[in-house]
Amino acid sequence: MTPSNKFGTRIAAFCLFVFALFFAVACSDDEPASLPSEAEGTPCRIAVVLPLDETHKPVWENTVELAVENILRAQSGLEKRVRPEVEWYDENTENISQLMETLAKRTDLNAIVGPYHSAHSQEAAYQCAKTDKTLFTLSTSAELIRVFSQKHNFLWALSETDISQCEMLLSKALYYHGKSVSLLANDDIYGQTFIDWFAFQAKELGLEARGVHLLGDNPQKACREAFADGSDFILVAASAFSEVEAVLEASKGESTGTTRLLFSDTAFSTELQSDGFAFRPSMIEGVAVSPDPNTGFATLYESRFGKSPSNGVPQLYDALMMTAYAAFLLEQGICTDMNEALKQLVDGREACQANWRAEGMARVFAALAQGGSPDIEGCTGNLEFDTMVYTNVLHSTYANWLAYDGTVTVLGHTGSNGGNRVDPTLAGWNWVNTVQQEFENESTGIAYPALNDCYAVLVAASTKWSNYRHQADILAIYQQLKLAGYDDDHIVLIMEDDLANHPNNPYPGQIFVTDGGENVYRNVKIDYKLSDLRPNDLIDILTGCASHRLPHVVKAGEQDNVFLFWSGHGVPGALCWDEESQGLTTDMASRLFRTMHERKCYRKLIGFIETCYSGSVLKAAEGIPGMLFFTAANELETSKADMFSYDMLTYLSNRFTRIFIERITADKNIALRDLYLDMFRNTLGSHVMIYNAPNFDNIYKCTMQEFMNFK
Amino acid sequence: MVSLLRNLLLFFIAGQLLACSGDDATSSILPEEEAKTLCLLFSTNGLGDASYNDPILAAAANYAFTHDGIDLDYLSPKSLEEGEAYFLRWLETATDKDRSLMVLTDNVYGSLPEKYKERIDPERHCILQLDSRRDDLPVHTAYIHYYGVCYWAARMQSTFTGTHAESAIMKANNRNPVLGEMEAGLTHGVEDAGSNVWFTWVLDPDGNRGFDLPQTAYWLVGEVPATVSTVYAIAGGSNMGVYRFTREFPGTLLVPGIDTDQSGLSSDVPFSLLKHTDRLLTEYIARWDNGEPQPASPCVVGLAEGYTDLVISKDYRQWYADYMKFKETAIEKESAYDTLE
Repeated sequence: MTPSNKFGTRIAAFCLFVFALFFAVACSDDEPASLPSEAEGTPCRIAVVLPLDETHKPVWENTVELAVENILRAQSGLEKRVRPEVEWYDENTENISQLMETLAKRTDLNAIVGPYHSAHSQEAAYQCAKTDKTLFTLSTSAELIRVFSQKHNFLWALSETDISQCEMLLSKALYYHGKSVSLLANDDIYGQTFIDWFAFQAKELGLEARGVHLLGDNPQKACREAFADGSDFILVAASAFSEVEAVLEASKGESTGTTRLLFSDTAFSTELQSDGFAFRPSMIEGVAVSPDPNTGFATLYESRFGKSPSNGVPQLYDALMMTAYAAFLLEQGICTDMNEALKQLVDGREACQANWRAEGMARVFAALAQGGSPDIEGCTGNLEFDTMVYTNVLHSTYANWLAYDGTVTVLGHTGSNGGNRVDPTLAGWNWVNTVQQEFENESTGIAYPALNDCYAVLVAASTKWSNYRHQADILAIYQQLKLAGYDDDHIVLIMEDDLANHPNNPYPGQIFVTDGGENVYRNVKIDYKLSDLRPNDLIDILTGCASHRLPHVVKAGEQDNVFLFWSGHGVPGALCWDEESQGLTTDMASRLFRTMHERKCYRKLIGFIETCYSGSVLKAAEGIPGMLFFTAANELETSKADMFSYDMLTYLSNRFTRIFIERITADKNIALRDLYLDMFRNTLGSHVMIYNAPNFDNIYKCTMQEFMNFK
Repeated sequence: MVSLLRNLLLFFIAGQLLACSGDDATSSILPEEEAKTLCLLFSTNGLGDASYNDPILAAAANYAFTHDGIDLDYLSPKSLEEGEAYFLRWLETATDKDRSLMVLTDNVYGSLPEKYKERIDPERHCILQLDSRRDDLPVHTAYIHYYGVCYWAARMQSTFTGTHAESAIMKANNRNPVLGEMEAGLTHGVEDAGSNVWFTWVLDPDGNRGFDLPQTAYWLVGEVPATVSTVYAIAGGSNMGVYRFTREFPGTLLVPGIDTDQSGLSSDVPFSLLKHTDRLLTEYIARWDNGEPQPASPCVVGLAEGYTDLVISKDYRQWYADYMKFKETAIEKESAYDTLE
């Protein structure tokens, strides 16, 4: 090789080197951002606990697929991202308690979504409450919210409670010009909401509630009884689709007249749209929580998957979306706790045209990345939560659906009426009572002798820790009587006294009606254990018939007033006596009151009865001069427990009693009619009633001072 | 040497050309293809109607799902103001008529293109106004005649029920031209069959509403005499009151479905009048997506072109076995009516 050739070769080699180097760097880092792949982003782990049978599983999988796809797309171009990773658990086959206990303890899990069935949701909430594990529920019973809203903020229910659904069903009956309604339900967690609220809401809406019938093991029998009511509508709150089918089967054989069935959301299930559903010739109608129609979710879902979204689908979607948003806040370092992140999220009010689609989600992610507080929206609606306890959305959309000839059609949509809410807290059951009694402001004409003395009988008609509130309330009343000047000779106190030293009591020897409140079990003289008496003994006690077995009785005469307070359980037509449902029946009460009147055992008697269906018993006092009864509920309503203690894991009090004490403490001379108004307005979920006012006195003028002479 | 250097230079240039090319869509040499945007503006709270708006959304969604590179955006506003704001935002941000299409689905927005005529740039904005016959605006307009299928339905029905059986019409208002056309088709069809329209209710006689009065519709339809066998409800959401009546009192009246197959609403829906706005929209979207020219505005179609139709409910197919025999007449009538308009 000549020198010139050598030089040329070196030049060539150098150029090749430079070329190779240039080639290597030519295509670096100008690439625009691509869609995030599944491998990118911090994992956001979500446990989904739902029925995974062959009917439901594809529905949930489709929903998750749609949500995850949109969540990933929405984060395109963002520096920090989250990547949803879903773990599936079959609600039908897992031991829910054990599963939820395990999931709740996992620190690598961002949230749990599900279960589907109300009973399982309750169990899930119990476990998640222990660790504050974020839990999104698809079904929302009233009990779930009442128990778990008061302290923790781990529970995120994406629909209003079934109280609203009950309202929707009754509103539909009203819309269809119905005048009377009956209810078919189970006394399980799901059905209990309807049982608790049906009669109350019916009254508020001006409907006649004719009966409540438990499906139980014999839905055919329950159906026959419901049809026998002759109501215009029967609301069917079945707990499972199999019960829907049983009711339809049973109704086929009934002479239904003009009675129509309206079904709750259990019937709006995937099975309704399946080919196997047998009742094609019939029309089946009902309501169910639905996506907000203006979001277009239902249309796009059906376009993509061929079926309209069934019960639970929109909530599942929104749960995944909200979890991703909250996990994103953690990823940004803005929050360190999922529940705090969710609170911050739902408190956001900055308009950003958010919606459930990728484009709308992208605007939310972008705003969050810049430290903003966007107003989020999902396919269920605007995801507005109560600002005090959070816990559940304030407004849900309900579809009025019709299934006929294999087709499911949505007839229209309704939102729950927020107009009767007292305040945003527990929006689902904070209903302002409106249908109150009217009383004449005039004398009854009864001439009463001068008042000489006052006696009291207090009955806590239940036992066991789970009924704590009854004995606690009675003791609170006992303490008020003492403040009002009663001594133990003038009080007959009947209670089992099994709480103060109960193994569950974290405060031995003490009983409370509020967390951190005063001990109401102080200086107490209990006359009789509940288990030592029979209901009939009340006749002897109240008519002053002492005996060896009943040494302490009420020695009242026609110049002495008698104060009666009863707290316990009730059934239609009876006040329960511990486990005995037919304790003090209407007939027995009637006999008692007549006997007292005939024997002149009182001047005036006032009674406060805190049980379910108490009106059905105390109407027995009507017509008997000098007697007046306040009841916590009318003849068809249940009375609701109120103050749940996470410390004691039981309800401590009922609102009826609490309001009574608050009012007489605030105004010792309160007129009975004012007392009624206050108790009526503030006792939630049932109508406080007064029985026998026309035969008592002018309750505008008669005051509690006649019975509790406070110093 | 020179030859060597020349070869190296050629090699170098070739290398540069090859360096950043290829199939990678994120190439920094070629600009990345952004997705096209398909925007739909619905009437206020229009979605969820299961008759007009939902099928339009479904059609757009189906197209977007099945064709790469199309993003779907839509709004069912809570107010006309919100809808107008959405339209304005789109006017301001759209940069290329081939990359963004705005569909005004309801003629309630007919005033927007006129109001913002000066801001509409044919190079930046591609707008389709449905239910419009305007030809004086920088937008594409399309209109589906309803006269023909209404005539067909009424002629068929009155022939089936007999001349003694009367019909009734319930419409939302007197101002909506589509409703006027429908009423004309129905009335002419009934009369040509030798029967008559007993009465036409107008739910909002002095205004342009009446589409959301199902309770009123329910009570009114209950007043029909026994001589009326068929009620044509052309009042949007108010129609639900009529279908409800037939569910509560089955066998009293026949109520044909409007816009979509509504046989699922009642056993007394013998057939439905179909309006294929979804198909029309899909065709417009496809042309836009493929860069093809749109038909001249207004694009007026109807029964002859297959954009309206009748579908007989499953349980009535034997009743209306010869329903096709009035179709040609209906097409002729529609053409004649269009000429008169």
